[in-house]
Amino acid sequence: MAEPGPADAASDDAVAGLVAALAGTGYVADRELALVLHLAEVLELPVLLEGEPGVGKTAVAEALAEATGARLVRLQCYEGLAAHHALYEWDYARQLLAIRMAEARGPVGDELRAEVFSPEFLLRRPLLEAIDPQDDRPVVLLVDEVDRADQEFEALLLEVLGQFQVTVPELGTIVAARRPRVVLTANRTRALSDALRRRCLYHWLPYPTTDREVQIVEARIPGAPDELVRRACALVARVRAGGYRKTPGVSETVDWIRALTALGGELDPRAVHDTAGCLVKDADDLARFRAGDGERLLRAAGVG
Amino acid sequence: MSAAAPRPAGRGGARHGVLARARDARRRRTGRIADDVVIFAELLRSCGAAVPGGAPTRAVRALGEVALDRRDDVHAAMRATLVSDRPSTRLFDLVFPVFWSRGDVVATATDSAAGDTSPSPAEGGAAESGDAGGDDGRQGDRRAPRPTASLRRGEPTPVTAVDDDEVDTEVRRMVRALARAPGRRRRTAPAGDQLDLRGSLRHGLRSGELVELLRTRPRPARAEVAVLCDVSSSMAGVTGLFLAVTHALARHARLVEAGVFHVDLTLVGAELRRHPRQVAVRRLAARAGALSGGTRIGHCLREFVDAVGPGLTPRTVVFVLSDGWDVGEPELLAAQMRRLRERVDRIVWCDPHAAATGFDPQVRGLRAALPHVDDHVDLSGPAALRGVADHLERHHPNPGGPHARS
Repeated sequence: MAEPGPADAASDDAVAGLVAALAGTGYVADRELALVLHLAEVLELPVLLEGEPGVGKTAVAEALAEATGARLVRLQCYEGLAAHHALYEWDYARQLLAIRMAEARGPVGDELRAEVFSPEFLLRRPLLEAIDPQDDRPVVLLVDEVDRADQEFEALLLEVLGQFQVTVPELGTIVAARRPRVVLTANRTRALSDALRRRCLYHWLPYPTTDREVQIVEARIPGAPDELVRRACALVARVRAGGYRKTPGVSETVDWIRALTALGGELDPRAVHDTAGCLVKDADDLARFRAGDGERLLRAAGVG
Repeated sequence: MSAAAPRPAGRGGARHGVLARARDARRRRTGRIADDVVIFAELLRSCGAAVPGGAPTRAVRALGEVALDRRDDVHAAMRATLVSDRPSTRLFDLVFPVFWSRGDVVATATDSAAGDTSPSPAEGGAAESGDAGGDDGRQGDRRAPRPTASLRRGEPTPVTAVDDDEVDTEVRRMVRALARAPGRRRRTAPAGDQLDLRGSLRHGLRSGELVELLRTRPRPARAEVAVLCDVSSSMAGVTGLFLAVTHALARHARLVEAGVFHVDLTLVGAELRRHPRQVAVRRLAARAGALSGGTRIGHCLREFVDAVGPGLTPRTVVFVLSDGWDVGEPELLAAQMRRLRERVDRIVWCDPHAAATGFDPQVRGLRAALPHVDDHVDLSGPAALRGVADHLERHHPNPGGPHARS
């Protein structure tokens, strides 16, 4: 392609540095992911992370916040999520109380209106909190499972992510002094609008390779025997490829290996049978796994 | 990754075409990064990837931030900026190494004129109808008798005869009848179960006096609907109506996904959302199986459940618009119907012949499917639509209760 420019050496360090920083928090990220996160920062764009359940999408934002010393502001999306859950709301109960108290003191005028609609009575919801944080720390805004919110909510989100400002009619417009880093996660339960995709960097988070999963497990369970971890991760990879209804995620692998370690650290048919519920979480899958599929996978993974 | 190979994107023929196009586009590379990124974006679009408007600009900006001699970084940076969904990501990974292969840009820059003259518009057209072409090829060994078609030949419903307003009215009734579960949004109601302080205060401010506390109750959530519409030739008479109903359902309900099928399935949810009725119906009707010989409902159901997967929830109502005329194996159809039924709340099968056959289906496919169908209703013409809406208003199975079924 072209000869490396002056910025390259610095960015190279930045990406490698981010990988190391994330590893410091216990999150094992590959270079691709770190690069996308780095780009998101320098281009000031949100990152849209998609992937199967349990690959660690949410953990990316948590690790990123920890690694950069930022505060994590989390907005969990659900159906029916509306502006007053996500942006701000007036504390109506306290406002009513204040009005009653003012009335009891005597006749009230216009100054009560100004008093009741002051920042003191404002309930700050995650989006406002991310734009106008109470302290000086940088912010990582995690919009979790954005596909669970209604399509109408996406429009609101677009506006906030586009301008990084919120208008409260009674107070005026609040503009972000420093743009937060934004991470959106989605499970593909609903098709996201093109408009939202267009504004984000997109990254598909796959299941980790066996080697990487071994690293992840070792980072999460320091005491687990190496041999057990390696074999168990190989077996999990086979379960994932085995066409089960619910594919185990990384957290299932971690739970399972934790259980195996607690039971003596042996990976034999009996231990696998006993702990199968940590890994396979569907009645039909479990029946299939216990009926012999598990042992077959165990043999195929070179154990037992 | 190999487990994902049998998905539609991985078909051998399509893959070959994409690679050929990538090689073609490579010849047009200029050596200037900005221009090449634009050519690359066009290539991705022409292969069917979702590349948003400002993406190439952003990709060039991103390339300014990465080490250009690190190929993996360039790959990841361009992927994050250029494409915006999972299938496009796969396509990107396929095309990237071909288009950006090293070394040959200088060698081929001189004969770029030859590359430019390659008839890309014609190619684009051929590739778009690639699916239909595949069906043609298969049609020979899938010739099936079509008794239903000859039955219906006397009373076709032309596409133009469908009254949009009527379809909208009735479909809106259907969707309202299906919206039973309480949603998370609330509306004012005198005997609601929660105080509405916001409403009360705003109301009080307007009148200057806080006299009453308003209450709210949950508003029913919009019905979640998935639609499967049969467009095979045996349905030719009612295809216009069925597509109009599919479009109306997509618009008025919360659409999980919609598919049209004959021998193969095409997911059309995005298209239905994007285009108005007339345009959508015209585009879909063009894909209808005028040439195809039969319908593989079981096969298409499997593809549908595979593709939509987690989108189907215990609240989803699935509409199947079909006469049940199936040339596939009945066992596969029954198994896939069971699989679908386990995931959703209700399956409504709209059959153009339900009234005519007096609910005694002779069609093999329908007989295999019916045990898993909750409502088998007649939809032989626009007039029957009202009957469907009436039926759904009368029958709402186990409201609020667990969805159990033998």
